[in-house]
Amino acid sequence: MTHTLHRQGSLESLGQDFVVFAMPSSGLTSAGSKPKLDKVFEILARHNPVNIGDSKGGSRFSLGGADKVKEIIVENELVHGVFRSREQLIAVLKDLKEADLGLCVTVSGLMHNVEECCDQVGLTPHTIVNSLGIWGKTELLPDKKVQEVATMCGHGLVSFNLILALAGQVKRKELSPEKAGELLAKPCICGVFNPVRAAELIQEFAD
Amino acid sequence: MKIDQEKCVGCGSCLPYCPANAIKMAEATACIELDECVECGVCRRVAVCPVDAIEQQPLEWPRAVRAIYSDPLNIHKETGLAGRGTEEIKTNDVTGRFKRGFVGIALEIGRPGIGARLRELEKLSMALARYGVEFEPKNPLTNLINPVTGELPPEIRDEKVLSAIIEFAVPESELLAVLEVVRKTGATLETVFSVDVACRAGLEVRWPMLATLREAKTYFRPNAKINVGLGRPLVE
Repeated sequence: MTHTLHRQGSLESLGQDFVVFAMPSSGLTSAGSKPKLDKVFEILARHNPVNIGDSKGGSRFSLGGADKVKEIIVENELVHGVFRSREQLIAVLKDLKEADLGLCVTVSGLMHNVEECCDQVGLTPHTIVNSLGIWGKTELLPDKKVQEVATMCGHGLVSFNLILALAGQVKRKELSPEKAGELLAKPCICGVFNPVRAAELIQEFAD
Repeated sequence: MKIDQEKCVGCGSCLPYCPANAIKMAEATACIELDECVECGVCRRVAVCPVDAIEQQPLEWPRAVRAIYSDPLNIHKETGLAGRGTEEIKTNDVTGRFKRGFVGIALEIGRPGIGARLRELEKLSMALARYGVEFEPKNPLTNLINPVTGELPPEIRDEKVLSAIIEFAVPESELLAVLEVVRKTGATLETVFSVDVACRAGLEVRWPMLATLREAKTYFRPNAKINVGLGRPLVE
């Protein structure tokens, strides 16, 4: 959730990976936020996200369906959706701007893409957070491809071993890459994991 | 977490799901190495056990600290939020927490996927305290850090977490000096950590912090997280 900015990969791959978050500020604008968050959910769901979820309850893949995410949204919540294209992002931002809910909206993605989409919708970026990468004992880290999949879960709940195990099954043609992507999305409880991008990465891995 | 040895059928389905690599096969059943388990709850939540043998044992202090920083479904009393950090930039358009002229810094120790004993985090918090940073009061870790020495309570130093985040802000003019402290101390850690930096849009240059990083030839990734300014009432 918090660290969707630490996603790794090629520019081409990261260019098809946007996470849109909407939330009130706890204690400042959280009172009465439930109907606004429901509206955000409707907007996100309307634009065919590859994942959708909330920070306190679960995701489409951990709960077993987007409708179940809608049922568990509560006051003072963070709702988010994962999208694959700039066109989707522009449409989502346009709808959120028109809805004028007053909730805070944040987007993770390639910086220049997000800025250009904001420009097209007439939004002025307010604050940015950038990753300076991984420091410390980096020799402990696994293969770069494993990291690219694992870092799509902001809380680190998608294990390196699961990625390797599923990549092995895909390589042996026991599992489709798409199914592997969905299985990998399940441990990511809040739903910022991009299963379609994971399937692409797993396929590359298996090749 | 623990696995009921009477129920476990030894299928091994749970093994690859553990982010801490703490589940092992012991003869005919799977067992959790308690010292390695970070209490994130993944093994139980994904429900791959065919006989429902995985259980959450009662967690007492100091072991409870593992779940506090590893299981994102924990709601922190300090923040009212789930997860390990704060609202950080996500609500900055209405909180104004990160002001122009300042840079927010977050160090997530153990991320990605390696995990950390809290004594590793303490190496950084002590170095930063010596430098004189003020830790972010709303971060769920800050109430455990001695603000003067940066020390953690001794009883939690050997506890293992998936990751935990140190957050603070410094004047933009000190960004590079603080990063140097982090770099030097970080080289002594027995784990990895992710580093991020945050700033407000400037009046003349959109992202002044990035200009500073470019000038110092400090690497930053091409992807970012941007608050698009839709929150109301807006802090200009």
